[in-house]
Amino acid sequence: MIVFINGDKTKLNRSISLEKFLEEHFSNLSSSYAVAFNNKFVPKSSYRDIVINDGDEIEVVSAQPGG
Amino acid sequence: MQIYDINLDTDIILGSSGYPSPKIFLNCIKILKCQMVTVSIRRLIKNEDNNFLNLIKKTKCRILPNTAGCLSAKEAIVTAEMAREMFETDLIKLEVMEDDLTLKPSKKYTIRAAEALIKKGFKVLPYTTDDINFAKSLKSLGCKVIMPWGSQIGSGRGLENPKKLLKIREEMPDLTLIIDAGIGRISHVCETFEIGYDGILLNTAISKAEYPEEFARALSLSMEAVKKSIKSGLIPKRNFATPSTTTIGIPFKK
Repeated sequence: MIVFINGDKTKLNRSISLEKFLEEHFSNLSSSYAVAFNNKFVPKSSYRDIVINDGDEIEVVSAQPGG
Repeated sequence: MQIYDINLDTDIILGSSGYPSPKIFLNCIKILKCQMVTVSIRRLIKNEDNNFLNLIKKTKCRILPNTAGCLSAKEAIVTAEMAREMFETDLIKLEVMEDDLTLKPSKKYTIRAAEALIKKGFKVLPYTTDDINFAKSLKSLGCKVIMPWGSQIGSGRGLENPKKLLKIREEMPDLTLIIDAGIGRISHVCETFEIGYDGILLNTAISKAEYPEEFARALSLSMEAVKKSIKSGLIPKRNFATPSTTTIGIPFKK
């Protein structure tokens, strides 16, 4: 199945939880970050409850310089 | 300057973008005794360390996350929610633009987003134009801080419509008003305080100056000077001439 991570198409072999997905695809999660799933904010406490399916869109964001 | 329940010792919020080096950014914060900095929310690049947050932590400043780049109320709301979790703050600098070119704040979507965010418990600092009705709508929703533009972001053109900005000040004496964009020169800073605004938020004027620390020093001096001058009790502006020299005893007068 295909999912979209930060706008990029990514192939997944199986359905996994959002928590597992983040662990597998981001090694830099020691930085502070937050997630939106299908354009909705997802609090950290809900990562393990969400199962990723075909076509889902995941945004993983962090702090950057801004004015 | 009062930002909701926070009392800042200085009347400046500093943007964190575009400095020649992290060291220069830190030096500018020190020179200005700045206590609040803005940051943006952007996609995390896979497997790449994000050192920016560590840099921000070093400043010991309060963080004011922004929603820069958002073109809809929905994008701004989700961005604000992500920022709140990351930074553990209810403060949000709300920016919803009409388009990417002019970076003009969208009245319709900014108001819509502000309404939703206030209901969710956010303390909203909206970026607006100098339209009094825009400001009035936000005030009626419960915004305690409003941040009109002086002119377009990064333009350095200063306060293009001081009369309209003054009208907002006159109608909203109790709100904290901050000029958020367009400041490029020290004279613009002085004008901001002279029309009674509480503070400035600036980024490009400092970060893109050839010598940012020198600009920061000049800014610090000018803020001190303009505030002292205002406290001295400025003369009112008049529409007629008033002689400063006594008119009694003018020679040759018949």
